[in-house]
Amino acid sequence: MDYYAIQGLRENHPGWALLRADHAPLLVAFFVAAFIEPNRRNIPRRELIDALEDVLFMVRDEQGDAAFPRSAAEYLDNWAAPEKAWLRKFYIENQDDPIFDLTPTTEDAVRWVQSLQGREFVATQSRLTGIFALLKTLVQGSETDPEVRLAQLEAERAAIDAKIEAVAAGDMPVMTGPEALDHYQQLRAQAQDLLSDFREVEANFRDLDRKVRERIATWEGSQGELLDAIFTNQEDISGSLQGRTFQGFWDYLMSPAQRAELSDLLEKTTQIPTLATVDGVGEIVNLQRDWLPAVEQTQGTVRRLSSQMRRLLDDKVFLENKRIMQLIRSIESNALALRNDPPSGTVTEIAAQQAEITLPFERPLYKPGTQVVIDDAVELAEDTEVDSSALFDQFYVDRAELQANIDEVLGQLPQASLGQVLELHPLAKGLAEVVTYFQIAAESGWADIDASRTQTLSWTTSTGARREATVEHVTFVRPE
Amino acid sequence: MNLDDALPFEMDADAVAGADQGAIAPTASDALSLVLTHLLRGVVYREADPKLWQALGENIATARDYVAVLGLELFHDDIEGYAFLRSNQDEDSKLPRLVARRPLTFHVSLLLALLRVRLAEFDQQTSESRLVMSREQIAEMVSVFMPETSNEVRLFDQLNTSIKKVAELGFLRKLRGTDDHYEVQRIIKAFVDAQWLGELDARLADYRTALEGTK
Repeated sequence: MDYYAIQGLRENHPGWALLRADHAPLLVAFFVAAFIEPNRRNIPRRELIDALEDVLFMVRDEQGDAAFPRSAAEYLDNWAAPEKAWLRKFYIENQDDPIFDLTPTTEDAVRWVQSLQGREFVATQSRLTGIFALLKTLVQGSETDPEVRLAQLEAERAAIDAKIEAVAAGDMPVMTGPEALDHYQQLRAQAQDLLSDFREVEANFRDLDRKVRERIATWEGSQGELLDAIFTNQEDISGSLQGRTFQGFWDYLMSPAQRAELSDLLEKTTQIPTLATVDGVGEIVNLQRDWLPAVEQTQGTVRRLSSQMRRLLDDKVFLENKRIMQLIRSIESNALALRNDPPSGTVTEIAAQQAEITLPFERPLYKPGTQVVIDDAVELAEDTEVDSSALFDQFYVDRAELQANIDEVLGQLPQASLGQVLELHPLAKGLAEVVTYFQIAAESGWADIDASRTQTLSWTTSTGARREATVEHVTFVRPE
Repeated sequence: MNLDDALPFEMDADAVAGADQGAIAPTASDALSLVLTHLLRGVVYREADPKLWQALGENIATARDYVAVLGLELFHDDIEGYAFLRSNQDEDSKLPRLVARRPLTFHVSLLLALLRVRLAEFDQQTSESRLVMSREQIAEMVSVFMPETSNEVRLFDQLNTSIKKVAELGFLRKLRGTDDHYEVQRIIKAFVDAQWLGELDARLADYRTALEGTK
């Protein structure tokens, strides 16, 4: 890497540009809060605008509105523009709101900034043993001479036998506290790296995909030769190096035996006595759960890329695209010649997308409209004191409070009927509150309204009268 | 047609038995009816209704035969996931057209051609399946082909009219919640094909020759 290569990176690399940007602190703070900290991918625009609005509000509160004058939406679009490329903006099926995700280069830059805070403790021993283990796997796995292989296996067996004897004789070495901590830190770091690497794996897949597309677009020979060139050189995604290592990872993670072993090991890690004082040791069991969505998403991307590629390689499409590109050049030159005297009237025709079928009875019959008389005369009110307290005597049902009531009861019981909730939190505002509970139940995915059963609720009004209502039976279930 | 012709009172026994048989196995013919009626009302998309799409796949041969009677043919693209009916290309056919042909002006034709090419380029460059363009991007694409005039307002109106027309034809769709973003509907591939572009090119070449002859 020479001076000019580095100079080039400084000029063109989006990650470096991010660090040089005047508002880099805002960018990094926002990316950490929105994507990295909660470990999120692919966030809809609406949601991201809200998150950025929050960060902007906080900064403007301190530094005045002039600090960041543009709107959150403008910033997002600007950061996703090709010349910045800090965010990837794209559309998914059936949704008109665009989706944003961090690009891997942005993630690298943000993580580098995070690492500037330094680490209290750098694992060294576990890394050395890790390197040894890797070396052994590499050398032994590549050994082709059966004699050497046998000798190695026998040596291993002898070592194991020696250990068995030692343990039987009561000599059992247990990892010391610092050693365990060293290994644990290393484990955490690697697991997190792996998670963030998925973004890069996906970006690599997209890169491969782009290269193949370029080849298709500029290919001069026949379609058969093209397919041959792509698949024999393993330029396609599943044949590439990245594709094959990812597939290996996927198979490993998806095999039931491996998954069971992994969760068992993770579970046992949390029970190691010397690690009991480490912060957040319990979270390590979530590792597997965090990996799955990330891996599934990458797998989804591979599937989508392959199916899009099939569209492009379809023989009809391939020939048609070539023909269309030739035609458009001619159309463009003709249209340019005509642009100051464009032909008037109909130039071409195109078929409608559906058959012309009109059903006579689908047309509504004539209905005379009703005339609305608007009385726009304004009478001047008398300027006397009016008792306005009636306006303020309205009451208000606090939906959040009712939701909190439900959550409190569900904190103790796995499921509760509306009656059980009301035992603890009696109705204060009567029917309006019952209606709100029903509204919560109807909109929640964790509640069941059973029309075949009823329950009777009762309350006391502010005037002391007792009221009862018989309503359908509602059960709230604790969300999982 | 008088009523007696339409409702023959003396039905023979075979016809009655045939009607009964139809009633015994309703599922197959129900699926066919569903598919055909939907096709007659408009484009069937896989994304919009996967069940209907599957029913279409299972009944495709029968559906083809059925619509052929009406002088229509079924266009079915399994990779893109859409299907629709179009008039049989046979010029000698004496049947009246069930699927109308919409007349297009110079600017609308050109916009369709440019959008079609833009989609082809988009497919060659990216792996995304949805091409979304802002009004500004569309304007930039067609501006070269607009007359040299200082009347910007007129050009702007002209562009808006073209975009609206293309949206009416079903090849652009305004995104919900935006002012000026449009999705290029992938079905444009099936309508604005190489043949259509070839015809447009020939027509424009004719105009050009005529124009140069008058000068």
